[in-house]
This record gives sequence, C-alpha cells and structure tokens, in this order.
Amino acid sequence: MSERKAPRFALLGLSAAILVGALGYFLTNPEQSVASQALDQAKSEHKLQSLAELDGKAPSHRALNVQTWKTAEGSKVLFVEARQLPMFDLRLTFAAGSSQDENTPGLALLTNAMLNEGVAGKDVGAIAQGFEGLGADFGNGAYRDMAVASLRSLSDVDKRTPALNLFAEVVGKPTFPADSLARIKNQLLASFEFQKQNPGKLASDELFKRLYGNHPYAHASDGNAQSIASITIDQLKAFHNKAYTAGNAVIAIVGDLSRAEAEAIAAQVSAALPKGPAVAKTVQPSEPKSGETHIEFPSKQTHLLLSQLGIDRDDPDYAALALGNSILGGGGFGTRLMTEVREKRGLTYGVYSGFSPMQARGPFMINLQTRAELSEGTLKLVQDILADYLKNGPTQKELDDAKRELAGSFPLSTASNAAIVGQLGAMGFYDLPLDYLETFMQKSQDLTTEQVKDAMNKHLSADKMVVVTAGPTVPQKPLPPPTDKPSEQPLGVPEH
Amino acid sequence: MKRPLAGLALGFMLQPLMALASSEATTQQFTLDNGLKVIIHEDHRAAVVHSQLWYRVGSNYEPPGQSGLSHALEHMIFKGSSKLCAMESDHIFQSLGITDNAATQSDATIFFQTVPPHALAVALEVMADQMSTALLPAAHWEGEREIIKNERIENIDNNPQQRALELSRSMAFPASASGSPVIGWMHDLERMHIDELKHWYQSWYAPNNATLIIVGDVDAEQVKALATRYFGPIDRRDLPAIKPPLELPAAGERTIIQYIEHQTPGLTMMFNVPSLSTQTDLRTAPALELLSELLGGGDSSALKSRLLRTEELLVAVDSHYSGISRGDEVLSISAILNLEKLRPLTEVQERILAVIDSLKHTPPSTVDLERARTRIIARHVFSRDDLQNLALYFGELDIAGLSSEQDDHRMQILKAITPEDIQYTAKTFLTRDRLTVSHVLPKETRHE
Repeated sequence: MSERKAPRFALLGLSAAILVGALGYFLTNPEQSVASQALDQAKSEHKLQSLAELDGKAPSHRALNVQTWKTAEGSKVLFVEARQLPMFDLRLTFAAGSSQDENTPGLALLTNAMLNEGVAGKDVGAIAQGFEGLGADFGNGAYRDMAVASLRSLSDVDKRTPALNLFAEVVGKPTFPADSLARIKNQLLASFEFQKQNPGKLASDELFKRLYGNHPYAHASDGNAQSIASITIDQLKAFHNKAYTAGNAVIAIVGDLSRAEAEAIAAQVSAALPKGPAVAKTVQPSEPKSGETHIEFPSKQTHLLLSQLGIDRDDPDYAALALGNSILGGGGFGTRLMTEVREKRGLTYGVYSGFSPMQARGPFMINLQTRAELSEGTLKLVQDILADYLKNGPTQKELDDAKRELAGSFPLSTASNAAIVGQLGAMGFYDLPLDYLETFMQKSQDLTTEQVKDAMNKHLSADKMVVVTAGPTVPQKPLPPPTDKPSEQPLGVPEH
Repeated sequence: MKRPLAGLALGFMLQPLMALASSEATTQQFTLDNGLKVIIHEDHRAAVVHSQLWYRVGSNYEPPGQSGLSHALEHMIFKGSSKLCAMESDHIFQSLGITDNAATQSDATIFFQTVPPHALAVALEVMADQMSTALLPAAHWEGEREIIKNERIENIDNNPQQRALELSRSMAFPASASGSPVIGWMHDLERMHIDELKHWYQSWYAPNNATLIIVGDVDAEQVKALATRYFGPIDRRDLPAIKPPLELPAAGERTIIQYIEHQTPGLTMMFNVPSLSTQTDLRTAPALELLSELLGGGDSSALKSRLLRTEELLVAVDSHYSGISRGDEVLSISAILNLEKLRPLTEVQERILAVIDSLKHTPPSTVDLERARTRIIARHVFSRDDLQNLALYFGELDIAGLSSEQDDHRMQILKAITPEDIQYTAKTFLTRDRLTVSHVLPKETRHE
C-alpha cells in the first residue's frame, strides 16, 4: 500500500481535496494542494462516491422554543414543551455548590445528599417507595458552582401529581434525620478510603489545590474526612435555608406539559422552597504558581494532568476557545493530541483537553495516562504539541473541519428531553440569553484562524502550566518514533 | 472499544436496556438480497441520525488462545480499505460533523456514528467499504497492539473492580466462552498475529452476518435506497456454524478469593440463569427481571433497604439481569462493604443470601411487586428519550435473535407475573449450586 508511506499531511490533504470539489471550499495552503494532487492521482479511482455527491447543504438546527418567566417567590423558570413522549423532566439548579462551603468542605454536598433522607411523616425508605411506586426517578448532585435536584416522571396526571407533591416536600422541607446523617457520613468516609487508591482522583484533587490556592474552588466538593465528621444537623438546616431558597433557584421543565401546567408546577415547587434571595457570586481566583508536582503511586500507568486557569461562563472568547480546543484535543480522533500521542506513537489509549467555564474562571486541562517508563517523554511531547499549537495556531483546514464538526454535532445538544433540560438549567444558572445556543453556533462559524490563535494565546501560555503527575518512579525510556511510515524499522531515537 | 466512551461498553453488560414497543408504524425492517438486515426507525425531534452496523461476532465466539480477536479486529478495521487510507474515515467524518466510534461486546461488534442527516450516505459507504475490503495491514498491527494493551491496562489491570470481575466471570461460565474477557487476556494479545485477524475478518464480516440500524431524522425510503446502493453489491458468504453459548445449569458453588492492591472489600454473586432465548418457560426471564429489580434495583429494593440502610453493612449494592441474550446468562449482585462497620465477607454474603431466601420462603408483597413492575414499565417509556440508546436496544434484541413481537410479548408476560411466580423463580434459580461468589480483599490483609 503506497498511501501508508505518504506523509501524514498528505492524508489530510486527500479528504480536503474531495471536500473542495464537493463543498466549494477554497484551500490556500499550498502544501496541502500539492500533496492532495499527488494523492488524488493515486486514488482517483477509489474515492467515496457519496462525498462527491454531497450537496453541501448545511445541517439544519431546530431552534428551541424556550419560554421563561419568574415565579411569585423569585425563581427563574425555563420551559420547553415536548409532546412526543408521555413524560417530563424537572430540574432545579441552586447556587449551592461547594464554592458556598466556606470553612466546612463538604457541607454543600452533604446537604444535597440529605434532601431525600426524610420529610414530615416519611423516612428515606418511604420516600424511595413513594417515587419508585410511581415509576418516577429522583436525582440529586452537588458540584462546585451548583447543586441540583431533579425529577423524571410520566406526565399522566395520576402519576405526576403525587410525584410532584413528594418532590416539593423533599427539596423544600427536608428534615435531615440524625440516623441518615450518620449513615451518609460513613458512606463518605468509606469513599475517601476508596479514593486513596485511585491515582486519578488524587491527581485531580492536588491539581485543584495548586490551581486555586485559597479560592472556594480549591477543595473537592465531597470535602475530607475531618470536615465531614464535624458537620452537624444545624449546619445542614442553616445551609438549606440560605442556599435552597426560591430566589437562589432556577427551575427548568421539559416535556409533555402545557404552559399552564408548567406554570402550576413551577409555582408549586417555588412556593415549597425557603424564602430568600440569591447568594453572592463566587469571586475570581488569582493566578496560580506554575510548576510540577508528583504523587508517588504504585501503579503501572502514570496519570498526567496539565492545567491553567481558563475562563468564566461570561467570557466573550468562549466560542473561539471551544473551537480552538476541539482542534487541540477536544475529544475526537483527529485532534492534534490524539494524532500525535495515540495514533503516531501508541503512548496512550486516549488524551483529551478542555475548558470548563464556570461562574468564576474554571480550569483548562489536558489529561492522559501512559506507561510509567514513558511518562517523562510523553509529558514533554504533550507540552511541545501545546507550545507548537499556540505558536502557529490552527490551519485553515483544521478550522474548517472543526466548524463542520461543530455544526454537525450541534443538534445533539438538544436532541432529547434530558439534553434540553440540562441546557435550560445551565442557561438559567449562568444568566445566558435564550438564543445562547444559536448565538454560540453563529459566533463559532464566523471565526478566523487568527482569532482562534489570538484567543488561545490570550488565555494560555505553554510555560505557565500547573502539572500534576501520579504514578511510580521508574527508570525512563525514550519515546518510540512516530509511525508516519510504519513500514520502516523503528530507530529507537525519541523525536523530541 | 476504539476509544473510551463513558459507560457504553459497561452499559451493555451491566445495565438492562429497557424494552420499548418496537412494533410501531415508525419502525421498519427489511433484508437485502445478500442477507444484510436493515432496521429503520424515524424520529424527527432533532436533525440527527444514529447509524450502527452490528456484526454477529464477539468475544464469546473466540476459541481459547485467541481471546480479544474480535476487539482487535474492530480496531484494525480503521487501518484502510479500498476507498480509505488508514484512519482516513476519522478525518472525513470529522470534517462532516459526524462523530464515530466502535465497540465490542461478548456477542457483537458494533460500528456507530452520529450523523447530520444530509451526510448519512458517507457513513454508509465507509462502513460498506470496511465490510468488504478492509486491508488489515501488518505494518499497522504492532502499533495498534500497543494501543490495545494500554486500553487493557487503563480499563482492567488498573481498575480493581474490573480485574475482580474479569476473573469471576470466567468462573461463572465454565462451559462456554461467555466469561472470556472482551479485550482479551494480556498473553493472548502478546501472541496475536495479523493473519489470525485476517482470518477472523474473512469468517465473520459478511452482509449476511450483520444488521444495519438507522434511527433518527431520516426518510425510510431514502435509507432503503442508500443501503441497497452501498451494501447491495457485497456478496453473501458462507458463515462458520454459530452455536449459542450454553452453560451447565448447576455447575456447583464456586468461590474465588482475590487479593488486590488498592481495593475496598467487596463481593459479587452470580447465579447461572436462562435468558429469553434459552428459557423453557416464558415466565422465567420476565420473573428474573422483576426478581433482580426487587432485590437490588431502586433505592426501595430489599438489599438496599435492609443491608445498606438498616444494617449498614454495605455502602453500595446493585443487582443486574438482562434476558436479552442469545445464550445463557447470569443474575448478578455486587456489593461494596462499609469500612466503618466492617464485617467479614463470608458474614455479609450470608446476609445477602438470607434476603434472597426470604423471597423463597414468602412471596413478595403485592405492593413491592407492583413497585418493581411500575419502575420497569416507566423505564420502558423513559428509554425512548435518547435515540442512541434506542438504536442500541434494537441491536441488542436483534443480536439475541428476538423479534419486536417477542419483545412485546415479554412485556405482556411481565405485567402478568404473580408473587408466586417470583417465589418459584427464586427457589428454582437462585440456588447455591448455580452460584459463583467472588470475594475481593485488599492485598495488605492477606495472612499466609
């Protein structure tokens, strides 16, 4: 097979050449044109007919009809009517994440976990029987910015009404029974023991400490053994009264309901919550000190985490950074990191990068695992790939591909009730406009390579990374050479 | 799996993909002349299509010494075919906004994409080309083997729970390859040769051994035309004899004790039971599904309310059974011990068996049974919200050789199961001679 010996960019050029014909894109990069001519010749009899026949029409996106209003008690409501399935999703999002823990790490999570442990006249078993007997799913979770309580139920009024009554009690009037608190504390303490044996979790906890110092994002949402053990029922009640208020809640509803029915649901839930305003927003963190930290851990693989402070959810550069990151390591196979680290060198099963925009600046992070004896070389390789990307930016073809990929996968963001209710919760919580998704999409499609490069460089520097590694200390080996030409014998010389 | 996809591969094994009425007008099925089966389900809620190609081959087809062959072949399919250079499909897909991946399980190999509707033809042409002309170049095999070994180390060897599960499953299926690890034993990966992969490809990658599933924003007639155009020219081939994996009904109580670094004490109990395909009484599989739900399904289930909340012996416990399978199955219960109230594993095991025995002595209350039934039926509706899961469900049914009518029938039977059926099923199948017990203890506590 001759094409295996072709340089890598030539392979990229091939699909570009086909797309030029099919979609009318014009490529200015001469290197790609030359390569693709050569390959086009070699492969002219083979190319995919379906590609040549693509009519180039842009994937359609069905805009969501989001309705919004405020309840009498001040909760923001977002609603999408979806009549296809006889079910609905209700999701309450509170600014009640671990960034509100103050001096008691784990308080937000423990409060959230205790919601469905008791209400007047019902213990945890009766609550579980109540939801499950109706076929309803109750869900809860606490993270750094937010805490969530959700209900998924059949929309039939015989099922819906009792499920909502129980949900309103659980979220608005939990009793926090002492025996449940003891049991959940025990479960958390057991999970801390479990985590001691998970190098990925150890590395991630250490990374947040390094990145955030004294900021409320620095500690893990589940707290630690000392802080959890000390938490009292009174603290839980006080936290619930402060952070689970109607003014601090966003109510998202999707499903087989009329506007009037959704209004009634929102009114019922909002009225059941404690009265009160929204809590203050999280302050911005200060810049961390860059450098490397190693956690000694007896495993075969080494975890590598590379990070910097990224952006908050309001940052105007979000679209440029999301697109720029999708080219670097956003999850697909063709990303620079995946191509260089996995495909060419077989150093890992997967390598990913990503921004996590939060209320205050969230992290940018690259993470991967590799064999311990190759960890130093792999870390250097990843750092070099990032530095090269920041220096030179994406190619026009990379950007065009990333835009098409985004356009193609974009409808997935609202393809199910579960996906829509998640979007509504985030839009309400971060105060995003109702056309946020469409605007994000349009902004992304209008970006140039220069804009992406500038945005990446404005927010990231290759020499300012906070690095955490977790694994054993073993003699290091050089990296295998990249296999653009796999028919040649390896030379045993690292590329970098 | 080609690359990590949270929960998916595990989902096949551990989560019941709940039933849905597939006999609606919007689901169509037909077979091409070359034997390729096509299932199309229209749903126009969003401008996306999920396309999946299912091959009837997986780890339980593999002879000893060749474990991991199907999964390795799944990786190598992307290394070039008549119309595609190595990994080129990734770049083409990516540039069209198609996301793709592949997964191997014990009885199937699946290639799947999420596609903007206008680009569906490209996904089909790529999969048809890979079905008929994959090159499987020897020069790419050594590198890919390293990626697969990394996958094994990351997902199994470095994961105490998966390590424990791998070995105990192999004990629970003594008479078939159903307990063989999908990814393959490390020593089999080390000695796997590209010629074995080529032979495996020639044996199983044929249109008459595959099902194409298309779910989403499509027009069924257009899909028929595309499927015929791209897959139609591929010749039917003779397939090796296929025999569903059958197990000994009662192989005797088996116990395996493993000492693993960095592990919290835990246990798994697996009972050899029939599936929808191997049951002799139509009530067996539906009753087992309800039994599993009653034991360790929701938070109100017996094991969770008694052992997790009342006695606090456990911090996690789950029960699982799926009858959608072409061979015999297991009903499994997994538990992690509460370190704050640590009891010996043997004692905890007896407490779990006591909860099971209580269902043998006394049928469940009508209220408890109705609750379990309601949950299963509600999930039946909920599971239709996610179209990728719906497509996977169609595939699971098809691989198990079950028609949508049989699936509807199963739901009808499930609605009619009585408390006495549950008691009888527990007495018959949740017995010691069908039981494999796996104890996992931290390595530090070993006394020799």
